[in-house]
Amino acid sequence: MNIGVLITIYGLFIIAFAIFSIVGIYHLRRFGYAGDLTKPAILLYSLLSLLVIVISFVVIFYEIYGVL
Amino acid sequence: MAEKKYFPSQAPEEKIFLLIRKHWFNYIIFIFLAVLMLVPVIGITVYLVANGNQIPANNAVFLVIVTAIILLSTFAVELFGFINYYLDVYIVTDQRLVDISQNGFFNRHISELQIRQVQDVSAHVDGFFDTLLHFGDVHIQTAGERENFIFTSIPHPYSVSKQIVDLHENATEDEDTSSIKKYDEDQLEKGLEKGLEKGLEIEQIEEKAKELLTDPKTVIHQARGVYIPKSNKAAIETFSKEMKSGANTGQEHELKEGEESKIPK
Repeated sequence: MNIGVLITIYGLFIIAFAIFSIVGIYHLRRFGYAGDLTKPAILLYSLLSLLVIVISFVVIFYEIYGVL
Repeated sequence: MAEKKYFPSQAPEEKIFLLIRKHWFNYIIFIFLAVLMLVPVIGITVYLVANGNQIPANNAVFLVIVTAIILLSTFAVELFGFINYYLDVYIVTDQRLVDISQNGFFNRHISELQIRQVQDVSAHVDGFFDTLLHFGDVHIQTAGERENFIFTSIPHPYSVSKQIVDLHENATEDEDTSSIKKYDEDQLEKGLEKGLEKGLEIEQIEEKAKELLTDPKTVIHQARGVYIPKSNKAAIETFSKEMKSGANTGQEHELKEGEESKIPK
């Protein structure tokens, strides 16, 4: 499969994932209580997701251009 | 900043006694799901690290994208499960029981039950894991045709049911005491009006009111059909004697301390 097509599919997936995440985080912020686990969960989820997205793009960039 | 409410109809003076979430065992399905989804991710990562230089760029990009998609999907599934699990809350206050049920993102139900409407509370622990991990259901039977309340899969159901019973008793006791107080106030007001009509001085009326209120017989009769304070032993004894001698109804009845009384007019 063409790399361009793959990256487009991945980009679309990330957009859908971002919308899903925003809705989910909105619910946690809206209905969570002070001092419960909602805030740490939001933080952990956001950090891990960003980490995966950033690392994947770095590796893709490296595979295509051979440099970082 | 105003304090955040635990549920929309929470009154400012309402005290939260219990905030209960389902036992973590209910979340375990999502943990299994995460483990299953992470298996291919680990496989692909090991393969990429071991054969990084030999894999063509197209294939490597494909594998990286697949891995990222699986990982992000796992996080999304966990977020969905966490919202379903963690935003399902049972709240017990001094005035009501609240069941907040979150099903998915766009389905949230909040049902309430006044604690005075509670008729019967029972705890159920059925099954191997329930017994081992101390969780179960609490069934709350309501007065009237209302649907019964069920707190499902909550930790320590026995102590929760006991607390609900205690709060119910407190709530009904408060209600009875306030009805006696209201009755007393009404009677005092009427007495004051009558006394003034008769041309008595305020001090004289107050003196008379004090006598009436401390007379055990009066207290008993003011408490018509409602709770007799446990501390009022003298009143209970007088009433029991009266009932035994048939002064009021001609029927024999021993009134025990704290018992509800239906005194006929």
